[in-house]
Amino acid sequence: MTDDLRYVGGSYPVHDVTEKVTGELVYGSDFSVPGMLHAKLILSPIPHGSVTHIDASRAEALPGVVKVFSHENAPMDGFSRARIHPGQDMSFYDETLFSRHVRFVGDRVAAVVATSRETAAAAAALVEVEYEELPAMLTVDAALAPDAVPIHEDGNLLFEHEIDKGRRPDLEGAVLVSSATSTPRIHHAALEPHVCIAQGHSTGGMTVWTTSQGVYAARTVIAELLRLDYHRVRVIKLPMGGSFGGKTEYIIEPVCAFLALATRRPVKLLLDREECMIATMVRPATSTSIRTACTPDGELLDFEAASTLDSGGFAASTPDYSIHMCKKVTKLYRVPHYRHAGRAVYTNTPVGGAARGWGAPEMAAATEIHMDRVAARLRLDPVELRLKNMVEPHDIDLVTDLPLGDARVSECLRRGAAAFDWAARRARPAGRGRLRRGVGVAAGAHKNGMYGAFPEASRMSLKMNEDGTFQLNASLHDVGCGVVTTMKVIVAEVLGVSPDLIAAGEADTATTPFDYGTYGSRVTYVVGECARQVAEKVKGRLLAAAADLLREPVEHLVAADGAVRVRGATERAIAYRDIARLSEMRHVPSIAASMTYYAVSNPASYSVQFAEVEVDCATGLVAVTDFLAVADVGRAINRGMVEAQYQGAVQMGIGYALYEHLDVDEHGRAGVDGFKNYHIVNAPDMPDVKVLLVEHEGDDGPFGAKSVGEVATVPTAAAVVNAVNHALATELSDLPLTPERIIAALRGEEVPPCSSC
Amino acid sequence: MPPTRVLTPSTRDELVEALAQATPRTRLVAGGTDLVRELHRPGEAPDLLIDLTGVSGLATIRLDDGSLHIGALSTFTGLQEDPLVRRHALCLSLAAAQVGSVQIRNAGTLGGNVANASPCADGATALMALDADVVTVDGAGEERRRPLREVLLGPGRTALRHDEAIIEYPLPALSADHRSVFAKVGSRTAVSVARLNAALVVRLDATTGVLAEVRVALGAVGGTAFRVPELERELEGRAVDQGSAQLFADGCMAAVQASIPGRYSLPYKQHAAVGLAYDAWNMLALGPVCEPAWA
Repeated sequence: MTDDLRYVGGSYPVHDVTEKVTGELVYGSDFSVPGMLHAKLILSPIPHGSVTHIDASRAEALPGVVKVFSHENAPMDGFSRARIHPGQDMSFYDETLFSRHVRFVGDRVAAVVATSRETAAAAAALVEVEYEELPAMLTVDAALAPDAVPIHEDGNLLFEHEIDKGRRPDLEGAVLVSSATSTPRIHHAALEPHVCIAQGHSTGGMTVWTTSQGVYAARTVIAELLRLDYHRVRVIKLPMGGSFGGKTEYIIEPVCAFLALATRRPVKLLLDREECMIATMVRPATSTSIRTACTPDGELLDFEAASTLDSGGFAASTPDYSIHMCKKVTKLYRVPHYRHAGRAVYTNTPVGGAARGWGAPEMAAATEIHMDRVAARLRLDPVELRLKNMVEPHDIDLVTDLPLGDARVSECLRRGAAAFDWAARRARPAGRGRLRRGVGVAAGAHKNGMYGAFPEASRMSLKMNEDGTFQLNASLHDVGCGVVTTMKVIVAEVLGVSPDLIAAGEADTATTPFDYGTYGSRVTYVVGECARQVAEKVKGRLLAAAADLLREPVEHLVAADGAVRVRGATERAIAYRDIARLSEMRHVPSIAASMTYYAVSNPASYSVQFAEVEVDCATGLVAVTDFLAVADVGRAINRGMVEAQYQGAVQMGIGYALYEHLDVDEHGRAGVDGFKNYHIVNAPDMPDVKVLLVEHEGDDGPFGAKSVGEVATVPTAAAVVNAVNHALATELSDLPLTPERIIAALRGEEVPPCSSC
Repeated sequence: MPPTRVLTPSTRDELVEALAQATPRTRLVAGGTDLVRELHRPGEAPDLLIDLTGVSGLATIRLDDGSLHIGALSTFTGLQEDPLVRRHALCLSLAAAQVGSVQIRNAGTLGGNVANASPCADGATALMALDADVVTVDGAGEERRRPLREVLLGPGRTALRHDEAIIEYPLPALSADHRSVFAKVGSRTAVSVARLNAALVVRLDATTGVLAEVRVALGAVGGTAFRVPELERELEGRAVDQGSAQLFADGCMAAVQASIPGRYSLPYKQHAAVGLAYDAWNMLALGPVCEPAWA
């Protein structure tokens, strides 16, 4: 590990913390442009059917209402909310701006545009929509039944995929273990709701302000659907109050853009919490069955899995999500043969799509609950079983054929087990009284960008200002994970100046260079390396200019602390400010550089997590009493942020394990409309989350850094479930472990469906 | 549509005047913690909002000749901390402490808790066990006093007329021989609506130490909080021991079974009722901690 780093590895607040705290920051809900109108969506109250009649006359008669739009007066071209690139495979154009065939409660039927948000809402209640109902396919089983009503033309089986890699060894004498795990449909629970503002221009084209994880893709979806040239669609990223994947896909942006063009006025579309819950996107519900074979001493011989993903009413990114569920296990475990069949199924439920971890938390739940079952069968300690099978640095991923890089997962497990005092805690009796204690462990893997599956590159430019400060021009998308600060710290480290002397803005398709955005765990590893390399280029120019001014060969110079010095003669120095001032007048080109960085690898990031729980056998409530997250991060760029990301990720994962579920009733309606009845884990129920960083900087990210934001939440739920199963000697595997389910398991009753009470 | 009018009476007379203008579409504002949410939902807006928060005297808590009078505008935070409530109606203070979040407790009132008639209202369960009455005033200036059980009719339903406002809850103050407790099961530790709650008031015979008087109220299992009189009679005259604790727990479970037969939540709630009952019993702190045999 290099210890001479000046800025990398320190702790820095997110770049806009002061504006957030003072209220100076303008979030989308507060953002306005002159003459702006407000739109309100009308959502389908039925899960399946067709719109037979819309009467907007009463709504349009209301003073202040501009117009009501629906399938009757809007384009009916299909679009894919998940389309990043126009040439991309795996885009399903099954969605329109407004639905005539409604496919879930929450499907967009119409929108009212009015001069105020209140008027738009009042008018929305006056629009009369008549529906002809179709039978609703509310579960995957119903949707796949022989007599199922098709939700889309080509039937309800949206996508199937199978991978079969390696060779199955002789299984004679092997121990076979089977499991079935289900994970719930959940809400992303970003504090800020979805919001977008769009404005058409009389010169043609338009500007769109949105809280998006990728403005270039928003531009692609809008331009393709509304038949505009790309260069005339300017999309600007707004400050964002959280996303967790929920704002990765382009749902309200095309709607808002259309409304602005159709009314020839700026339009804001701001959703409320219930709309965010049912009408945007959810983490898709999944079920996975696994059958493994291993030797009696616990070496994995064969791993076979089948996963079903509930896509909901539209495909969104769920086919790709389903593929990715098949790419997780072999990042974590060595196994001679791996087969995984995945499928995505349309149902008449809210649309599934991008969510933090992109299939990894779902698959980690299935895998790691299964591994505990194997351990129990073989009477092995769960840590021991995992250590026997974990990948080691520089293994090749059996499924993707990509090197896993400096994969330090077994080290995470060993160090974590020691720090958590695993062996002693695991050996402690659970107790026979009302409160029972248990501990659980789980490991998870995730990727570092899209290299190997998608063209993965980043572009940016960096220049020195005339006063010696720096300006980074990149399409950054801070979704709350400190991206802007990360880039500043990386550039600062290379250039030897404080991060405060570097300006970096966020993405704007008119002014910042093409970049996919913040998703796929690509930012630190790919965008960050681009920042490091462009900074190295600029540093080269800086040294060359200093060499000229100091009349010394470049080899004799060092750049640090805002000045270039002559090695061995520290009094001979020139401040960056002076270099900038003087060289600008003498040198062409100036001290600036641009570059495109093409990713060269896609190693795995890992996390191993340990949970201690206390289960109340009377109420079925689970308290997570202690938690340790061990992180294979390569190198922490912003230590405080990495720890905070982990703490937030654990909060999310505990909710996934114990509380959160967005189920629909027999009418297809979600029983929840806000955080009053959709419970996430709040502060009183959070354990003190300890984070242990394992840093080896063995891969190709900046200063050795790897991804953090997604992998951090991957194993959490599994660790909690395993701890509960340890405490109760149960084999619970249907998430979340609600009190009902825990009590039913204790009483030996059938585990009930997860209905709201 | 016409905008909603708002009246802000500051005296009892002005309140009566305001109530005289009320219609079935009128809503009264106390803490507003449920009402504001409701106002944001689509649907017909109220014609008139009467803001009770400025009416003087409605948040008073006073002890008068063995009777504790709790003003309807008392907030949960106030109830949580008030020394009179803690001394003479502890279970209400304990219930208040478990309502919602700090912010909700700072705004939410005991008047709204009853008038809103949520089956899960923590305050209503405690008031039920405390034998509280409800005093209202109407648009004609007339005051009425009724037992709480006559006011709460079902989920969201009360016997209150549209021109009637709760002004206070008189209840017999508990003495030093009394113990009162409140326990709750939510879906998480804090900021959770009750899935089951219970209030228990007992009086010990000063000489024999047996349970001379027992009052049990359960909430969130049925349309409104309710008392369990047969269980109360069974317990009265018994010693404070493991046997009584078990009788109490069994009685709570039976009451839950009787209250929500066939409901999805029954298998869970009847089980949780036992844990809740033991929680309440042990909170009385009258003897050794009692525990059943767990599976």
